Amino acid sequence: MARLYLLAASCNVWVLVLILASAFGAQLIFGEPPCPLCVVQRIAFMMCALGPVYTLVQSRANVLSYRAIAIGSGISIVSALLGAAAATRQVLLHILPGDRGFGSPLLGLHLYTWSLIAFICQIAATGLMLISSAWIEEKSVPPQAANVTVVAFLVIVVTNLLSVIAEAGFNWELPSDPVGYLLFK
Amino acid sequence: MVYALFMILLLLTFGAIWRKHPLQFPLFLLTLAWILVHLLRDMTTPLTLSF
Repeated sequence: MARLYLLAASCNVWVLVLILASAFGAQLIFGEPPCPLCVVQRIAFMMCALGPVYTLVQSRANVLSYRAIAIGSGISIVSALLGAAAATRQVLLHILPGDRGFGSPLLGLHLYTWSLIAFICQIAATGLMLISSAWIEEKSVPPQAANVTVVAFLVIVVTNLLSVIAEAGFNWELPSDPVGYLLFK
Repeated sequence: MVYALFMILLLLTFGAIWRKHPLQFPLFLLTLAWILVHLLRDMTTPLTLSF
């Protein structure tokens, strides 16, 4: 069961990395740099991933402890609540009839609405994983291939870091309706 | 730059987690609190991060 839990934690990180990669892809394909609230939501996704990453890193000693599960889940849930708050704020900003919203919609919903759904799913998934720890025994687990997952997480964080530096240039804040990359202007 | 700082703090938190450094939780809580304050300031002032 411990192996299954670590596999689920890895899958959780990969789903969050794929969400961030999709947002980054949309940014490049549609030529739409993210707004400040979008960046806050991206950071919240990264912080959500930090939870399962914590659990994976702790299990490098080949023991999966309840402490690691609890702390990792806590990190994930608190971060998802932060992201949900940012996404809700953005949904409410564009809720009035006639408002076309920010950015291009995907399957009829804007990215910030998908983001809110994803944060709620993250909280639910983390809750289910916490319940599943009822069947876990604190004993030795075989070494996991966690390093690839951790590298993918780091790559997506660094990519977003470079992107936001390019977008903000030398300004403290991002423009509320960004149209380009201020570092290159 | 403030968003870059958030991400740098996040990377520092990851580094602390990787090395099992005692600063891992203070760094995470600092990042979380700073972003929360940033968001609350936006929610309580007229449309600064308005999009």
